[in-house]
Amino acid sequence: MRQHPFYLTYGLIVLSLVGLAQYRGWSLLSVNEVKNVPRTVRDNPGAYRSHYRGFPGYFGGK
Amino acid sequence: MSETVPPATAAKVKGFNCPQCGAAVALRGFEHTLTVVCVQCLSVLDAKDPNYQVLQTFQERERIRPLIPLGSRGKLHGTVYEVIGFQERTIHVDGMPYSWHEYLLFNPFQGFRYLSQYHGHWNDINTVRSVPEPAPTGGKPGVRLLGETYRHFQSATAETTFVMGEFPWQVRVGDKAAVQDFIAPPRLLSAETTESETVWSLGEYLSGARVWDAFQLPESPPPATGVFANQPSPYPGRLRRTWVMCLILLGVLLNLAILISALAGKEEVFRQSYRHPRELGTEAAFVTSVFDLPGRPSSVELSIDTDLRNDSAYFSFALINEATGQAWDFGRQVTHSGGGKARDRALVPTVPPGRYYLRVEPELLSRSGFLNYELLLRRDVPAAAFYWIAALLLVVPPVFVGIGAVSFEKSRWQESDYGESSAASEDEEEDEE
Repeated sequence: MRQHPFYLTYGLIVLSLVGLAQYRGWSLLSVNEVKNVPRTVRDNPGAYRSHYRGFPGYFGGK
Repeated sequence: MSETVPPATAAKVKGFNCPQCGAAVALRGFEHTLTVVCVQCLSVLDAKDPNYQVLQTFQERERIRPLIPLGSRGKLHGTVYEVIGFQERTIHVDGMPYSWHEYLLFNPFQGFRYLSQYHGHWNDINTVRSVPEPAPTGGKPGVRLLGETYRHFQSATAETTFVMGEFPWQVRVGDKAAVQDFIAPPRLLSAETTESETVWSLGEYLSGARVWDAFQLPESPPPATGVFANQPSPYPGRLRRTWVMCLILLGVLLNLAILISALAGKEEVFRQSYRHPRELGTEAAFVTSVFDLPGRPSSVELSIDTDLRNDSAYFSFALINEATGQAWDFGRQVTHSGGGKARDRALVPTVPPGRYYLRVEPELLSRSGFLNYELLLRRDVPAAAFYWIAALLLVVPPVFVGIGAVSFEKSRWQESDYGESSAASEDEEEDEE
């Protein structure tokens, strides 16, 4: 083990990052975070304009 | 090797004056010396002749300065040796000359041994009395000596291109010998064949630092460049150790994954079935009822389970915090082509606790018919992708060490008769024939 301080350190950093990612609930999903969505969305969902335009399969709106 | 060795002046040496130039010539090899080369005019003299007959002279000759001066003493294998002769030898490969230096070492009780030097790579060489047996290895010629198999590396004609000092044979500039090298790193077995005999010698790779230490030479040895024929590879042990460490780290990763999976809440917070379109002429977009996301900020997994048949649907989602108005917008496409059910999963990252609802806007590619689907939300679900990424990152170092090991051996054999350039030139020669 002593012969691999660099690899051991590198491996422990990778494992720590995995643990941190899972604890914090990180994900690879591409999302847009939006602030202050009006409460009227509940009454009129169709009026909400999605800020997400990153998916190639999006068919082009309503 | 670092022990102090007696100075060269401690031993009595026989001497005479060069009949060619009058310079003092020392004889350190006693009765073993057959030829001596005047260090001043480089004339080759017969050491056995009472008048030191001149055997070879040169009008002009480029002088080569040995890295270990003649007369230097050094301790090798616990024995003090003195450098009494020096020669440069040259082979031609593809028309290119390659020269190396040989130092003849002498001890009155142990006899002779040699040090060779090529581009900073050194070999400690001794002649062997037994004749190796042929032992082909992997389709290549090979020989076997003292239980070890040596692979053929190179065959060439070596020409002596410079001499200085004493030699126990009749040395001349221009002497030629057919040389065959066989390797089993760190050892190198060489056969030198002349018209009269074949001499086998066994060399062991030495670093320049060890030679410098043995002869207590000033400054530093010239750095080694390239990979030498019998240079021991630093990779095999390192590669094995790195893979062992990699397996240990992968094992830790697997255990970490099991532990995280066991500790993760994966709590179901919302489940509802829907039909699209709900009613003709109504807005496709709708919002779900409000649900709680408990605990610390963590992931939310959305599962979409549909009854699509050879069709695609696109869902625009917004996970909205009822109190703060913060939203996470994302889209998912669900496609069915072939057997099984069309379903999808998405992991929304780091959502703080609170009361949320989901805005959903489904769209069918075919724009006709109905779509039945179920939405399921679960809290605190680990992302499997990170385990695969981590496994990949952990495997990268041993793969790089493996590439280094292959590259080292490729560089070694590139200089052999089996290197790409040598093989190409042999093919060209065959084509010409």
